[in-house]
Amino acid sequence: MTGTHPRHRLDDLLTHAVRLSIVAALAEVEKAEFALVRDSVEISDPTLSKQVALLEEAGYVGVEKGRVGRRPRTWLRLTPEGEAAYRGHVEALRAIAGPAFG
Amino acid sequence: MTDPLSPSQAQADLARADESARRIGTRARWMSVYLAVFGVGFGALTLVLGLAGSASMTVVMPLWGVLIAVMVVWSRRQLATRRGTGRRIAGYWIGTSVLYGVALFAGLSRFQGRPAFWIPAALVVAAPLLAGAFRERRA
Repeated sequence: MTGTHPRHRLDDLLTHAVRLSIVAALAEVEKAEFALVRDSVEISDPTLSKQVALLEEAGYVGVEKGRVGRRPRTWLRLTPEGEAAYRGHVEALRAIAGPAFG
Repeated sequence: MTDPLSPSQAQADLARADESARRIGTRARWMSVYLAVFGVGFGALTLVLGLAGSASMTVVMPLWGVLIAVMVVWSRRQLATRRGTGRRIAGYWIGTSVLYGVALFAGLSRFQGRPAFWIPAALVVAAPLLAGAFRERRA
């Protein structure tokens, strides 16, 4: 028995509410367009850009730029590292939240 | 260093994460419509080819081409796709494609113009994609 509290399994980067919401949204999809993530998380463009840059630097999110017709598009995708971190973080949150969230 | 997190804070974080996931998930369910349109399209194509014969090809095939083009453009404009969609829908496409081939192969030579064969055949051909549409709606 280790006696380690689940808070030690929380991912420091994902303890930020906005970053957790971004990663939670991306965990549902193969990839998502920047504007859709912005609307789903209900934040501004600059806030999303800033948080995505941090997540990208950590290797949690991949960013892909392209075009659909003449429109430029930015696609965001959760990496396998990001998904593992998210799953671990959610598991720790559920352990802290108690049996109702297990 | 991580600060201690209370159960209520953890619950709030989980609720927020669930809400973001739910919102984006709702917008990523377009594959259901895509499969339904092609399910109905394949059924209609089977029915028309079976009842009207090869004379209908000159009208039906350009329309079918337009439908495919419209749906491909529409699908490219979607802003997200649910995780695992490609893996989940492959079987529905294979099912409808195989049944379409079998219906035409079995029916065109022997049951041309007979609704008693082509109406059930059209429904059977459409069934896999329509089942896929239903399941994607709930995925």
